[in-house]
Amino acid sequence: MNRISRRWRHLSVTSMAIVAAGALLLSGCTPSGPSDTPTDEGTPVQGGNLTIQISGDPGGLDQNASYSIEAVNISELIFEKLFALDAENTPHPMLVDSYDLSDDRTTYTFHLRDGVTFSDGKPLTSADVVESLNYWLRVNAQGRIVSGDVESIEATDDLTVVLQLNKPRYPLIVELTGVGTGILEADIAKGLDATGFTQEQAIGTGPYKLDSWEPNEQLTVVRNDKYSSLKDEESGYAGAKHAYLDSITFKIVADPDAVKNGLLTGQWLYASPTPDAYPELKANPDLVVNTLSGGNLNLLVLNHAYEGSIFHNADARDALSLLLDKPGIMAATGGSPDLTVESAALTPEASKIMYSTAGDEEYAKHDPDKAKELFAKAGYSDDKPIQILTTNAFPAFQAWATLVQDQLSSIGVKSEIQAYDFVTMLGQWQGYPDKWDIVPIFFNGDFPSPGQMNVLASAASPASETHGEIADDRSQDLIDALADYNDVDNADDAHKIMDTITAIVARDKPAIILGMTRPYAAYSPTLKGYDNYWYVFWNSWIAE
Amino acid sequence: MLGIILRRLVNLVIILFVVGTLLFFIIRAIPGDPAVALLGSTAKPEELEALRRDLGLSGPLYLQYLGWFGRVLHGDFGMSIIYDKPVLEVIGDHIAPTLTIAIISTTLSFLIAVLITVWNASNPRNLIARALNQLSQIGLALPDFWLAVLLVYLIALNLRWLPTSGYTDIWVDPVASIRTLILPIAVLVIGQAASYVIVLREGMLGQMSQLYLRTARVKGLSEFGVAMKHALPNALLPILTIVGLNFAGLVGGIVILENIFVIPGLGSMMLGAINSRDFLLLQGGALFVAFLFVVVNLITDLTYALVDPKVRVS
Repeated sequence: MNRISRRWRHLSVTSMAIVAAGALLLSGCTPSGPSDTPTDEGTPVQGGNLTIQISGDPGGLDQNASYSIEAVNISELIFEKLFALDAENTPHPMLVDSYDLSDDRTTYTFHLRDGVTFSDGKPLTSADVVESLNYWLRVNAQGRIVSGDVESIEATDDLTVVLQLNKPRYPLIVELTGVGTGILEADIAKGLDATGFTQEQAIGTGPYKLDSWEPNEQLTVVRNDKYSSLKDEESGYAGAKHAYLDSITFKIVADPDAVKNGLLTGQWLYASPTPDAYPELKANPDLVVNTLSGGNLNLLVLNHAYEGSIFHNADARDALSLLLDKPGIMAATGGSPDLTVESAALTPEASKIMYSTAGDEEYAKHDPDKAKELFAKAGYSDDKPIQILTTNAFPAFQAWATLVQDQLSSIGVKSEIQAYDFVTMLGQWQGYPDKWDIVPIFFNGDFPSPGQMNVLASAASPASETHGEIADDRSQDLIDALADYNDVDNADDAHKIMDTITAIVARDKPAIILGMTRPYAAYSPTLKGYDNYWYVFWNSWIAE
Repeated sequence: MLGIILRRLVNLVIILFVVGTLLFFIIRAIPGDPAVALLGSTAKPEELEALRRDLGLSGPLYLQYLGWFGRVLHGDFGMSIIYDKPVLEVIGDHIAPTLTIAIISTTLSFLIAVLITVWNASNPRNLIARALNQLSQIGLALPDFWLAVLLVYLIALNLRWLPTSGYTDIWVDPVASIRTLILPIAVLVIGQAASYVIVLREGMLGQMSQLYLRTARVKGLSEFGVAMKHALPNALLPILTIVGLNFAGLVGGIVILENIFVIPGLGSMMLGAINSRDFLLLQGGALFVAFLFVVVNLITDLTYALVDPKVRVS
C-alpha cells in the first residue's frame, strides 16, 4: 500500500519517495492557475468586511443542487472536501489526514483529521463523510458517473472511511475535489434529494459560515470561529485558511454599468465585469485586473444524435467546422486577446494532464468553398433552414448565434435564430430535438476527469433523457478512450489518452469548439493576499 | 360618497377575480419548466417530476387553478420557490423601496409641476417661465434609462457626490437612504414633472382666460393668487387621472431603473420570478399590482369628488 499524508509539503526527503508514487497518481485533471501571483503584500490585517460584486443570485449553496458559478464558488468558503486542489493543480488532503490505496487500486481507506468540527460545534466523523459522498453519488450529475464504479462506502470507525471500487478508477481522488463533494453533517445529507439543502442546513467545516441571505440582493458569510485550519502553506484551494476578514458580503449586481461604476467608486472592492470592460479596467491604474483560475469552454453543440437534424450527417458537421472562422468569432466576442484562447483544447492549459492540443489542426481548418460542397453533399435544402437555439440571458450566446448565421448566409445556407429566456431555452434543448440544430453555449472547462466533462456528455446526447450523464450514443472510440483513462495508473498514460479523446472530439464533432475564455476579476489594490482563485478569500485581507 | 366607495369595492373584488384567473392561465402558458429552472439541465426526469409534484405543478391545470384560488381566498398565496418564503412576505419585503420611490417621486413631480405651471400662468411673459416650459418638452423627451446613466456618470462617477447604486431602508439609516434615493427619484421626477407641466399648463391657460376670474382680480388678488386659488382647482382634474396612473405604473414597472440603480423593488422581484418560473410569486405579485391599480383608481376618483363638487353631486 502506498500512503499519502496531508503534510506532504513538509515531509522529509525519505518520505518523498513514498509521496512520489501518490503524486504521480494524483496529479492532473485540474483547474488552471491564475495569471499573476501577488508578491510580498505586507502584514495581514485581521477584521473588516469585504464587499464583492456577483452577477447573479447563487440560487443555493448546495453544489449538488445549484450549479451556478456563484453557488459553487461561495460554498467553497463554507464547506470543505476530503481533498482540494493546490496551486500545482494537485489534490491536497484537507479533511483527510492520510489515506491508503490497496495494491489492486480498488480500496481507498481515508483517515480523517481529528478535532475538525462543523460551524455548529458538532465534530466531524466518518458517518458525515459516508452520507455526504453517498449524497454526491446519488444526486450530482458527475457523482452519478462515478457511482457506477463504487461498490460501497463504509465507516469502519469514527475517523476511518473505506471506499470500495469495483474496478480501478485513476481520477477518483481528483474527482473528490470536484463539485458537490463538500462534507455535510450526516443527519442533513441523509435525506437530501436533488433540490438540495436549505439555508438553515448550510453548515460546513469551512473557514466561513452563512450569516444572512436575501435572494437576488446579497449574501453575507462571517468567520467560523470553530474552524480548524491546517498548518500547511496556503496554496490554491488547499492548505492553511486564516480567515482574516470578519465577513464577506456578496452583492448581487447584474447591470454591467452598475458593476463597473460601483467598482470605480469603491462600493465594492472586487467585481467580475463583462469581457468588453476589460481593456478599460486594465488601463486603470487604481485597479488590479487579473485573469482567474479556470476557463469557459465555448462551443456549438450540434444535434448529431437526432436523425431529423442535418448535423446527424458527418459531412454537415465537417462543413460547419470548415466554414466557421473560429478565431474571428472569439476575437469578436471575447473582449481582449488576454481573455481568449484559440484552441480545440477541452480544458485550460494549466490542467496539465487533461490539456491537449491534439484537436488544433482540425480546429484551424477554414475552407468556405469546401464547406458549401459538403453542405450540399449532406443534403442541405433551403426548405429546411438550420435552427439555432439560443438565449438572451447570455449575450455571448446570442452573439455567437448571429455570427454563425452570418457566416452560413455567406455560402447561401439559410438559418433561423430562436432566442428565448434561459429556462425556455433549456426546455427546448432538452425536450424538443426537432426544434434545434445548433446550440451555442459555454461550459466550465474545469472538470476533474474527462468522463465528467459536460462537453462530452452533453455533446453526445444533449436532447436525450441521459443528458448530463455518460450517454450511450457517443462513438465507440470515445467510450473506449474514457474507459482507458479510468484504467491507467500514471499521469503520462492519462495524458496520452486525453490526446486521443481530444482528437476524437475534433474528428467526430459532436460539438464544434470555438475556443476558451478566461474569466477575470477587477479589484482594489487594498485587497491583499488574493491569488486570483475565484472566491478564495480566506487568506485575503484589506490593507489599512 | 359612501355609496361610491362601496360600489368601487364590489368592483374591486370582481376585477381581482377576473385578473387573477386570467393571470393564472397566462402565466402557466409561458414556456419553461420551473422544475428545470430549479434543478438545472442535468436533473433526471424522475427528479423533475417529483419536484413538479412538490410544487403543485402536476395534474390537470383546472385542478391546479382551483387549488390555488381556494388557498388565495384564505389569504394563502403559497410559497415562493426562489425566496423559500410565503409569497405575501416576499412582496412585503420588496414593496418598501418601490413605494418609497413612487410616493416621493410622484409627490415631488406633482408639486414641482403645480409651482411651475402656476408661476407660468401668472407670469406668461417671464423669460424664465417660458424657458421652463421649453425644458419640460425636453424633460418629456429624455428616456429614463438614458437620463439615469447620464446622472450616474456626472454626479456619482465624476463628482462623487452620491453612490452610483444601492438601496438602504429609510428606517435603518435615513441619511444613507436619502443618498441612494436621490438619483433614481431625480430621474423619475424630471420625466413625470415635465409631463404634468405640459398637461396642467393647457388647463391653466384655459382657466386664466375665463370670465369667472374677473371678480378675483377686481378684488385685488395678485395674478399668482388668482392662478393658485381659483384657476388651479379647476385645472387639476385632468391631471389627477394621469398622476394616479403614473403612480400605479411606477409601483408595477420601474424594472429598468431598479436594475440600473440596483434597487431590490417589486420590479426586480417580478423579473426574478419570471426568470426562475416562480409561478406562485409571479401570480401573487401580478395580482398585487392589479390590486394597487384598482385602489389607486379608486383614490383618484374619490379625489375628483373632493376637488370638484359637481362630481359629488352627479
